[in-house]
Amino acid sequence: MTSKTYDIIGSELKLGYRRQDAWGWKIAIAFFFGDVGAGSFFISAFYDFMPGMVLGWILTTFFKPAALLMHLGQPWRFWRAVTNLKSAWISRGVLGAVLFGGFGFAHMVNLHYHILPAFLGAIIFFLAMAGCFIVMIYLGYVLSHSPALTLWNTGLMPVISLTYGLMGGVTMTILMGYNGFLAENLATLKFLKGAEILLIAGTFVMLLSLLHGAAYHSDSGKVSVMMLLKGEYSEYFLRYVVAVGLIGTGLLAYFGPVQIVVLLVIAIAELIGDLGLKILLFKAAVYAPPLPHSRI
Amino acid sequence: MTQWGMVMDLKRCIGCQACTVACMQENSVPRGVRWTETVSEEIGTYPNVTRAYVPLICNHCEEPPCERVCPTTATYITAEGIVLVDDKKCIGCGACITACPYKNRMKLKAEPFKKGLYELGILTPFEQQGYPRFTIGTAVKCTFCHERVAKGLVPACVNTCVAKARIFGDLDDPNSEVRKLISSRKGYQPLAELNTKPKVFYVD
Repeated sequence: MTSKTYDIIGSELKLGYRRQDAWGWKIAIAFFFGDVGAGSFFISAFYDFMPGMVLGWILTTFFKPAALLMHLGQPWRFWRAVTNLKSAWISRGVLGAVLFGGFGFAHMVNLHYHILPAFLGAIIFFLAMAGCFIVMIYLGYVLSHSPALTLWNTGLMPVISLTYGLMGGVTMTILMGYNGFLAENLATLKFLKGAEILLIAGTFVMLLSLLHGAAYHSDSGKVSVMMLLKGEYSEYFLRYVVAVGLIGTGLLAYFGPVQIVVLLVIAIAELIGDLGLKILLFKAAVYAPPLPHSRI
Repeated sequence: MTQWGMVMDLKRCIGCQACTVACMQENSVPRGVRWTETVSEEIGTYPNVTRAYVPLICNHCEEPPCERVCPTTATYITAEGIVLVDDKKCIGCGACITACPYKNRMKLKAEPFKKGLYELGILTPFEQQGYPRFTIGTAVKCTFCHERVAKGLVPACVNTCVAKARIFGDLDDPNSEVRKLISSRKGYQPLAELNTKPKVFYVD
């Protein structure tokens, strides 16, 4: 067997690492809206904070599907996406989004007008939160279902998707509630700030673990990690995802004063990091050569 | 039950791309789409250097990740083990394309259907008869020429191979040429560690 390093190739007829190019910025934006929207609703719902819930619901129910429909090759057949619940995480995610869209709306209406009995209201709340939770995690499962893309094919992916969703949700809730319900409830503000810092630290560790795992799992994983750390995407990854999205937000959240301007900067930085990671995960994924190290 | 499979003899392949062209002719695939191709690899360093050719095609896996992730069940496996896409069901989400470890699927873009093979905005008679079978925006892949196989013929790439580097047959028949080749020359599968159980084997 010959030991050999392969190049990253395009459509030329050579054996080498090939880029994932089926999914790009449209899917990244869709999942970004899904994560941030579902996270905002999820956190805001615990405090009955209506603006946060409305924002989250709109992002998830309108913005995310709009980006997804732009990506689909046959968008008018979108309803078919729910027909393989047995094995496809996209179908499960769509079901979660439908649950969330319907029961999330019903919960907000009920919260505002108090029209349902408490028991029924609790069931609707539970179903809305279940759908919301599925929306937050399913991108991770969709990505981890691709066996050849080492960067994606890890059990950490759903957890990272969840933590980014929760992190976005906490950040948006703090930002929107600072002059609202949090102004009167300093204990809740303190709790949410602590949760935000913990989530940022946890996400940082998980991102490190993702890169570490991918780099040592396979050659194609190492190629992907090198693209992010030293190669063509390193500038974006290190600057926007790591420095701005995690370290910057973490430092500001921990040391920065609790003022609306600072909270706004934290939210923007966190969202830049979140969107940047999603785009770069799609860009840096590569397929291994199908028949490496020819034995001829 | 018949389970169609293929053996690629790497010692015989000369990299002429006749298989690539035969596939394009048989299936009228538009510009930029290749359901099969032969890639090359340079091995060794000067002066002891050689070039090897590796024919690639959909492996029609027994446990295909593309089928598992398809949200619409558009990807399905026939009783004879051929993995196909129902373009009436496909929504063009691309999940199967990302899930295929061999990158043997692609989505049909609208542009080649409009501009044609020569990019002049005119479709040749060949294209006019072939393109109606496709649905723009859906995923496509090698079909093992299942219409030909149903008539008792072999896939176009096998039929045209000048070096007889591609051998097609029934993997369930112990007396078939493919089974004999796999056992006598220790056939192996591409990226076998992913447990997709490809039905395309390589011998060298």
